[in-house]
Amino acid sequence: MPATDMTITDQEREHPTQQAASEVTADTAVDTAIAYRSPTSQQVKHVSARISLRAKLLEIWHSRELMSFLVRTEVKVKYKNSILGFLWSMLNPAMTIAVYFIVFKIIVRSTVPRFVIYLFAGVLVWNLFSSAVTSATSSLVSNSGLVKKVSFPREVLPISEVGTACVFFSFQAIVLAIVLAAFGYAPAWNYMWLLIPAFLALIVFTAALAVLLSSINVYLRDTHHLLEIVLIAWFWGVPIVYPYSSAMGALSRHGLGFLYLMDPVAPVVVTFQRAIYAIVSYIPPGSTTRVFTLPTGGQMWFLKLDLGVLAGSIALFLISLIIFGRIEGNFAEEL
Amino acid sequence: MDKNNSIEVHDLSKRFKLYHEKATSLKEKVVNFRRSVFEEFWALKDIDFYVEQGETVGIVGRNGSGKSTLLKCVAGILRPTSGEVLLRGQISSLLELGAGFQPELSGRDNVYLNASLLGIPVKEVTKRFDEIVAFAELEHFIDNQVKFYSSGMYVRLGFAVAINVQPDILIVDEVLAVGDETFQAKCLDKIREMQRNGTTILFVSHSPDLTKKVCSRAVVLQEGNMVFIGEAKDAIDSYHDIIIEQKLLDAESSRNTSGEDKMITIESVSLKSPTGQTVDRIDSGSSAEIAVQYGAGSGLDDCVFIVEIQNDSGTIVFSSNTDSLEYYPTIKQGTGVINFTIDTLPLAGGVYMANAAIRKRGTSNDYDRFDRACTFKIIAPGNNLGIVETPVHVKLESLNNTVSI
Ligand SMILES: Nc1ncnc2c1ncn2[C@@H]1O[C@H](COP(=O)(O)OP(=O)(O)OP(=O)(O)O)[C@@H](O)[C@H]1O
Ligand SMILES: [Mg+2]
Repeated sequence: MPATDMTITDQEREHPTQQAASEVTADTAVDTAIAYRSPTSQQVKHVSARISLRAKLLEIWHSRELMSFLVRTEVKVKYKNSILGFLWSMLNPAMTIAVYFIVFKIIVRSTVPRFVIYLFAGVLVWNLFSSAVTSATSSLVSNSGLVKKVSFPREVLPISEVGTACVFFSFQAIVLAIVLAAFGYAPAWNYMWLLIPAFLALIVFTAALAVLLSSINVYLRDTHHLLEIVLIAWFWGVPIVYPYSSAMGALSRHGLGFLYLMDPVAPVVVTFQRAIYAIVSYIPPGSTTRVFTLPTGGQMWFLKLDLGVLAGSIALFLISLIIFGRIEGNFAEEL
Repeated sequence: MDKNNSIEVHDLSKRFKLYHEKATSLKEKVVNFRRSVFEEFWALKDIDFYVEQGETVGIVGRNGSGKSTLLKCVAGILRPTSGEVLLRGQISSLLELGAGFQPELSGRDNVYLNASLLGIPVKEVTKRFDEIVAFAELEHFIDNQVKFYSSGMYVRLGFAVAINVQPDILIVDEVLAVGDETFQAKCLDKIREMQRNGTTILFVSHSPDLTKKVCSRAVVLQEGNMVFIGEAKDAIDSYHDIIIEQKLLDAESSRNTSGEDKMITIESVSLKSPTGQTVDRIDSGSSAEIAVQYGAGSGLDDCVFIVEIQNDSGTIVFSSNTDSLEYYPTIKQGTGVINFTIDTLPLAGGVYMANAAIRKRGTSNDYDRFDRACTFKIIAPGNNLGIVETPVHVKLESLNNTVSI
């Protein structure tokens, strides 16, 4: 199937039309009854085959306003007509945390101190990732009306789902900050700045998956269901509920430690925990051996890890855009 | 791209895959992998035309001829299979009004959302917001949720957004058919205003009159091929020829004459020229004969024969019956023909259909009825709008002498 595309050809911009159009205006200016309007934009839009990645990125960049409207709509509509409204977006992580706390702290008797904070830091990151990817995957299908009838860069749909997830992420982050303040809990201030590269890496990775999976889901509706299952397993592959060091220890014994951090979400989660939870190691009561919860690396170790994820994610994002561009020509027919 | 052109369509073709049963799950895809269950279908074949800046070009054709597909390719919603479209300027499309509306949001939020879907910056919308609302006549409802709008209100808001943001190119697909009459008139006024301001318009309508009124040129599509491009009235003429040639409007095939045993049935209806030949086109103002052939199972003397002529929008423009002509035929068993001779048929040019019915006198029950039994074309020299075509004389009379300076 030949993929076809729309590009804005830049060379057309300095086409002599600008001049021609203004001549028309000058001519008709004499006849004041007709205010002849020259096209507001002299860009020539080109609907045909193939696309340059640059044009695609530019298109997305120019759709910022649209994305912000889509995010606002989504946020407004999501909890409309529900009594608790926004509170629902808090109740979901609250419940997750409560369940794991009960299971691991009370039933399994984990010795990790301040377990709630540990959980919260990880769940915060995981929720952003999983909710964004889940809703983005079905975004093209659930907005098929738009895709079939309105012309706009379609990448905007999955990407704005990531934006929506970020909005809920920030609400949850505020709650986390309040919890920290209420307990007088001291995060690792000197690691705080690492949240920025970590967050960026997470967003880009999430957006890359969002774009890729949403387009595949148009052709294979299984994608959505498959994703839900994969996410369940993935959750346990990331040190959210159990400490990083225990999984790392087990894997390292088989020389597989590097694999653990190959998962792009894990480094982000670990960075968040390092900055927010900050307890790298502790001595369990009634024991003399020190137990490690978090990687012992310094700031640079974390930074390298996050920048690595960021670089990989940017590459994946570009690849996703290319794949999306190749198959989007048929979206309007397939839906 | 030529500097005078707003839209250039070069050798555009669009192929669809028609799936018999579409596989959208992995299992189905794998199972059906070898024997792919689709047919190729070319909805558009080598379409090539241009629209100059400020020009309005219509697209006419039967259902399924590819009009909407062409507009969608131009609007960038569908990607052409081959060929290309070049566009200059901001484009706004009225393919489906209110397509981007989010029912849970207020009209106000939807105006912004819809405009930004069309690629219009927020400050532009803010500037024109009042204008948009006023045009849609929704001042009192703009803060209500759109889901509580009537379908007309919905459409009006969609139209108002798309049209009030001053696009350079406007693409209109049959949307003028919705909304009440006053709103339709208003839309037409707005389109005219945009035409005066130099907006380029690509226009699809099923109304030949509207196409003639609004467009300077038109394209005729037939099964994905561009069979004609030229002045709007010639295009409509060529479109009508297609209809007549293919006898598309004739109901013959769909009419089920067997089944219940009727006492009398209409077997055929035909149009005859004054010389008695069966024809499918006659000149406006000439005389014509409508012949209704019937088959009677028994003798009847309470039959009223009715003939009607309707135009392409379904309006009955002429009707007559034997009772009103004070003619009371006695029908014998067997077949026969009853001829209605019309001295002059002063109809405007276009496609018409003849209906015939046989009614039981004094009741409203038809023995038989045959709608759209024959299609014919009336050829009028002027190609004027309206329903009747009749000789007119015009004269200029100067009233200068009565004006005192
Ligand atoms: N997504 C699609 N997949 C397969 N076939 C399609 C698709 N969209 C349109 N078609 C086919 O393309 C042909 C042209 O359709 P189109 O909608 O362009 O017709 P149209 O001229 O607009 O008709 P109408 O007057 O009814 O609006 C039709 O035969 C239709 O079945
Ligand atoms: Mg159509």
